Amino acid sequence: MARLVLLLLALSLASCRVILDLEDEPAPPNPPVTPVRPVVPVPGPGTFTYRCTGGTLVVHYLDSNNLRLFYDGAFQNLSLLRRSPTLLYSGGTGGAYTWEWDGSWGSLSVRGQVVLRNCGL
Amino acid sequence: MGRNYLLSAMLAGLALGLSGCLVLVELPVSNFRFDSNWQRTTDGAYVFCTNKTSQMRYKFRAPDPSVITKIEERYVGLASGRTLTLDRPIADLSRDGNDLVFIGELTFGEGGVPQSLPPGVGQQSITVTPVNPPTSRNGATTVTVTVTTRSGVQYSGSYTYDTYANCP
Repeated sequence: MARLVLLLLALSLASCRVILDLEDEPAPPNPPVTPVRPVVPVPGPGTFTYRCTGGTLVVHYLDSNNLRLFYDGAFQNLSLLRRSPTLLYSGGTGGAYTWEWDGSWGSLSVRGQVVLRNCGL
Repeated sequence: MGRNYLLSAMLAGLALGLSGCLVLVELPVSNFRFDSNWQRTTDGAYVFCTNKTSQMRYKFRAPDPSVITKIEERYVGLASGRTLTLDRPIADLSRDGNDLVFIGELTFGEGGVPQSLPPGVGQQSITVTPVNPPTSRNGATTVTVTVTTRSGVQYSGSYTYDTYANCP
């Protein structure tokens, strides 16, 4: 009988120890925080008319890398240069045109000068 | 019989000639004209400025408007490739002599250029302002007006407005 009591005591102590072992386990270290670079989704494909300070602008997103817009009385074809932190397209006649889109607002520059700003849908 | 007919026709012609009566055949709808409140100084063309309030006006001769059953406006945007078609109630037009006149204010944006043309805007009068064309032509809109009369005949007029951003 005494042996049985001792066995049960040993078992209960052992189980306590297991529990204590679990509680004593150190918390896993926090994973290092990796800064997330904003990714602006490419609009379209399709045609969008933006209202800007300075007038309107019609942009055709042809595929994930190319667009066509109408300005200076002609269609201008631009290609994607950069995806982050904003989408930046460049090209057109003489490579003079730049269209920058941050996901909410855009601007059109011609020869480095902004001609349409605060362009939104 | 034939001789009598010829004589009657000659007498009728003589009577009309002597009475000075001039018989005119007039189309029920004719002479479409278009303008806007912005006129390009270089060539006198009427244009739209997408950064300013832009109004368009069209008129056509229709001495008897009761023969008109339908007025359809069609807007085709060059840059967007979009087409907007709408039926214009004749009540939106006002009378000026033998002309019917429509003036609308344009709104530009997604869904086509223009999106809508609310009627009114002080019928008859818009102030045409000369504008020096900037280099910023950002499109063109071709407006076609088709008027259908009771007999089913259609009469059309059309005009292409260049559109500009950054009008001064």
